[in-house]
Amino acid sequence: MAVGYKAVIWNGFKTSYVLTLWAAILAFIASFIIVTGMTQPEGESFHPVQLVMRAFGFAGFSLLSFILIIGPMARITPRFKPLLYNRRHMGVSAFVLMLIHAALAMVWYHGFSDISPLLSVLTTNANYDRIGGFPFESLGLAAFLILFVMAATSHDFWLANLGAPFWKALHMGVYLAFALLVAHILLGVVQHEKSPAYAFWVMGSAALVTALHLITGWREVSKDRRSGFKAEDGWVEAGPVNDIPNDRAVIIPGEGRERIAVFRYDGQVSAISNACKHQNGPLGEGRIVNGCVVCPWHGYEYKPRDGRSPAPFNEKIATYKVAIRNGIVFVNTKALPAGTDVEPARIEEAQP
Amino acid sequence: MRRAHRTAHLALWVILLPVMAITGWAALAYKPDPAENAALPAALIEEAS
Repeated sequence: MAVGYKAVIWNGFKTSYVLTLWAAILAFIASFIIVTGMTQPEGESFHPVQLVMRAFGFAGFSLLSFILIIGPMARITPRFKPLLYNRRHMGVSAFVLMLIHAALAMVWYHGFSDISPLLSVLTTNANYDRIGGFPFESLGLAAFLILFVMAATSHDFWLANLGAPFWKALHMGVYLAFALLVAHILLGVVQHEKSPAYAFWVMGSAALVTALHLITGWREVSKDRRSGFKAEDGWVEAGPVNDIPNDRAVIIPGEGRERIAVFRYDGQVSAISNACKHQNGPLGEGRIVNGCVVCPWHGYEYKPRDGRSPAPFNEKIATYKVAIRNGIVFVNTKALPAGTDVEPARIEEAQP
Repeated sequence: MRRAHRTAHLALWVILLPVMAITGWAALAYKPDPAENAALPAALIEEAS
């Protein structure tokens, strides 16, 4: 949602979010350097450049791991939802950390050769046919390139021009980048260092991220199956109207198991698509503020009766016909064209 | 999220889990031999310092 162009629309929350983020990043890097420097075995001390390089690499990987648990954790507890709001600032910060790590590695290990540093990364170690001593740098480079594309297209300018479906698909590359980084660390520092701390850190992070995504993913799939989509003449039961909290919604499956958000507000009920136009955020998990449904992910707003964003914005989503019979809400699952005005079902008429 | 996106999410992690687990096992099981010059003779270190 944008009217007039501003590269980043800063506000108090966003500023404090980014400042807190970088304070935490710098604290992590300082702690890593101090702890690693103090715990090195006799005769195996790092050069300061190597220590800083590794600190930035681990900070970037740890931040990426944290970014990846925000999504599933926000589905488990609403306390994580505020972190979703500016998650892309974290993503770009993680990329900057990895950029510094990569630049230091390029200069330190490949910058003094006769050949191009990039070529040197890919050709100095050619043991691609073995696990022990595998050229792990190439895995890091592949992850870096994916994260570069994602950081470069993170702005809403690209989201608007590429379209939400393509943009979302492109940004799912973060999972591949994460797996490549896990392999980069496992086949790099974990293989070459005696301390088990690195292995615990990377494998623990990978296990946590994967487990949370699998658990929440499975819950979502199960929810769809349990809902048992049964439409008669396109109408489905959404449950008793009294079960819908005021200014909140219940989410029901529609055709093709796309979800519908059924909102109760001001003594009436309306139904809209559950997918926000911006990034497909779950509108049904948001609430109505000042007469508009507010997306819990990034705050996009829609009027519940016509699915249109308030002026001067022009986003619009599908709406659905709604009826109330004997206190039970029914929704016609045939999606109406985005922005279609639908008369809400009045609760007082149904429940005198 | 749309259904296709939810399904793709789950499918990706179902694939990535064994890939990362096997890489972790292989990395620990097939550690490379230390380089021949990994441990410098004490005399050489003394001379250098």
